[in-house]
Amino acid sequence: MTTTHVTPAQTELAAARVLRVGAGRTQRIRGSPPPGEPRRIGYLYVLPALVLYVAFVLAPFVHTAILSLYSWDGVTPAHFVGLRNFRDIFSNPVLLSAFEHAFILIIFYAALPTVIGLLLAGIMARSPVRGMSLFSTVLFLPYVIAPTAVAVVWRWALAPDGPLNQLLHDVGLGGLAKPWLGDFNWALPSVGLIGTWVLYGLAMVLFLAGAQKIPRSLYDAARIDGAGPVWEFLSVTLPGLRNELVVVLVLTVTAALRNFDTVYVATSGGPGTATTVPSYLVYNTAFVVGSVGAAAALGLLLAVLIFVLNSAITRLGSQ
Amino acid sequence: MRTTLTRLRAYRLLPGVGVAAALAVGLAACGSGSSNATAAGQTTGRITLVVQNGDGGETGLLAGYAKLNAAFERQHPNVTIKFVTKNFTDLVNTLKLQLSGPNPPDLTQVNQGYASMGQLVTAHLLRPLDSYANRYGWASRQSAGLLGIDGRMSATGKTMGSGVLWGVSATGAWVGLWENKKILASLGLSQPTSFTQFEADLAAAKQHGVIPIQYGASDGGESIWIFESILMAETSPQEVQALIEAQPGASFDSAAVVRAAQTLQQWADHGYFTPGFAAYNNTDVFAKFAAGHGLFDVNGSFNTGVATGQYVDELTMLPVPSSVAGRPPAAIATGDIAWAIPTGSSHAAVAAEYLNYITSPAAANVLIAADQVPATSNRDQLDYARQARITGSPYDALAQWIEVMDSGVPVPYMDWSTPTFYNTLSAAVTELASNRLTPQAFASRLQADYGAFVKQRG
Repeated sequence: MTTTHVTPAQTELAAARVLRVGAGRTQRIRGSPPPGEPRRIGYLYVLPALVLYVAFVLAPFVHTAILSLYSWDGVTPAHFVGLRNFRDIFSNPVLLSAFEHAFILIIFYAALPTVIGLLLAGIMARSPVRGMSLFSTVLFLPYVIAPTAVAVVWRWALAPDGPLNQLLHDVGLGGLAKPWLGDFNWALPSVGLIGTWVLYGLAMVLFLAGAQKIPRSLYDAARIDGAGPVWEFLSVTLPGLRNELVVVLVLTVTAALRNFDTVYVATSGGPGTATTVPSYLVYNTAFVVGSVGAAAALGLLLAVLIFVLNSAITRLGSQ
Repeated sequence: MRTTLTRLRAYRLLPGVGVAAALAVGLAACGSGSSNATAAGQTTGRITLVVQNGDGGETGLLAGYAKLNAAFERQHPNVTIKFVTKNFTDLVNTLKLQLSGPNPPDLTQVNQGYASMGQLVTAHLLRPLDSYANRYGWASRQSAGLLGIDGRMSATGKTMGSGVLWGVSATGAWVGLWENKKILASLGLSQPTSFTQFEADLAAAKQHGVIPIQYGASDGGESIWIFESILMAETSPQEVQALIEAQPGASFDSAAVVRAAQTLQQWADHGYFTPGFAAYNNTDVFAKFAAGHGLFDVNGSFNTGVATGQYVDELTMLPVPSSVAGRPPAAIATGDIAWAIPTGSSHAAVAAEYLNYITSPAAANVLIAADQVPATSNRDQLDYARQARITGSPYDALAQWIEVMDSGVPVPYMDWSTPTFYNTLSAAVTELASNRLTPQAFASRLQADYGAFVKQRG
């Protein structure tokens, strides 16, 4: 307690020391803004990063926005079509259903991992578990594996004659077995659950890190007030994790909306168009069909959607 | 010189010149080589010929090409071939950027159809091959029908099957009925010679607990092949070809299409397809078929390298039988992705010489010895195949291909109909087979895509 408080006398002493050290340069510094204030030289420091950011993020973004107003096959001269590409998106049921699928995936990619991560973190934070770092490493592992490899493995596991269905048959639940990724009703939830499996570990690790900085005194206080585990979680752990919650939601909602690799490898958007998502359509429209303008419009719409949702999450989190 | 040319082209291509366009030009300029966009290029002195293919993963075929390349280099000591292998999807997805850039390969494979070859032709990125075809006499090697299907298009890239020659194939890619002869015999059935008998075989297999047709829908190809084969058998190959080439009056909203859709849906209802077919792709199910599971698989001659070992002689490949007796054999049969010379090729004359070599009868024998079906083939080559001890399914695939080319009717792949037809047709067939689409709605869905394209094309 004593060391953290700085007395006025100490402050003066420090100031005097600074003056003495800087005595030789006092004349030159006079007339410039106070130290720590923005100076023009600062732009020079950010220049390298700025150049890269403009070249690889802003410029392609602007270029995509311009392309979205054109009809272009990628090679022959493009012609301006105004907002037609966007009108086409809103009048095409397949494209609209792709956005609907993306929203359904948010439940699996963002909501479920957040709930599971919070529960695990809540349990682990309440009473220290032996070998906790091992647990968290193992639960985090799916997030470390390359998404394409994850999709290949799950495609095998969920195949009609794959291990999951075999297990169901072996325990007498053969009636529940189905071609998960080829079933019009189950394909999208199956793709979603792959996302849940990948992302809950990430959520848990972030929540655990956050929970460690919640003062133990708050838990003690809650217990003295007679709080049970649930109430303790709701009144201490959850409010203490607000910032982590925002980070987790931003990461997972973005992952849900820009999901491409899992769908590409596991289902190619099928059966029919049951798992078609906007990112997959961007790829397909640009490279397979060869309508670059339409793909740019779709990509832009997706980017804007991600941006709007994420600002909403951040805003809610800071209130 | 080179940089200026590149810059002009890049600005014409990129609408709304932005920072990215400038950046692209900068990068393009960095990678410029020495080439001339119009001349045929040098033929003497040391030449490195860059040849790009899209056959990645097809080990048998690539081994055949390796032999051909070595032989070509022996005949042309000043030429070194740089053989670049990509898988099919990578080739198709990167070709437009590559050919409009400053450093295209000297010879490349190009996928047929409007979305790929059509757009490259419209953008003047390919060279016409007619003068080479006349000089080397390619018309005497491959039938007019095959050359037309593989590489002819109007100079505007808007009609297909006739017009200027832009590409030539070295190997054939035909789709037919793969059949397990051993299972067929064990069920006491005989090889189907009519569509009715084929359907009876399917019913018999189902009754005996054998999967009648191995079918994997998730990558789309097999959905298209099965539907097109049924339509061809129930109507006529000529009608299907007219539909694909969008000849006047052709429409998918027809009684014939509805009837073929009904047949396909009935097969699904009767359980003639692999259980859970929508979760498999055609590679998955062909692997099962090639390992002795299932009576039939509607698949391509490009699988001759997959069925190996003891199964080579147990499997065979034949055209899907017609509903009308006595008709000449018909099959979805075109060349494999066609070889074309990019406008920016630095060594067009040598590239044409190479193309001439890999489509020659001598090269055909090398490809036959590698278990492949060469596009250039005639009946004499069956003798060669026997001498080379090619047996079982690779021999049958070759023999039936020659039969279809010589006296039958080759028909293009139905997904060439419009740039978006692969997606539309494959999704619609899966929904039809899963009873989520009625045959009538199926026909309307196809016509919506097809009609819009034909109308826009004018």
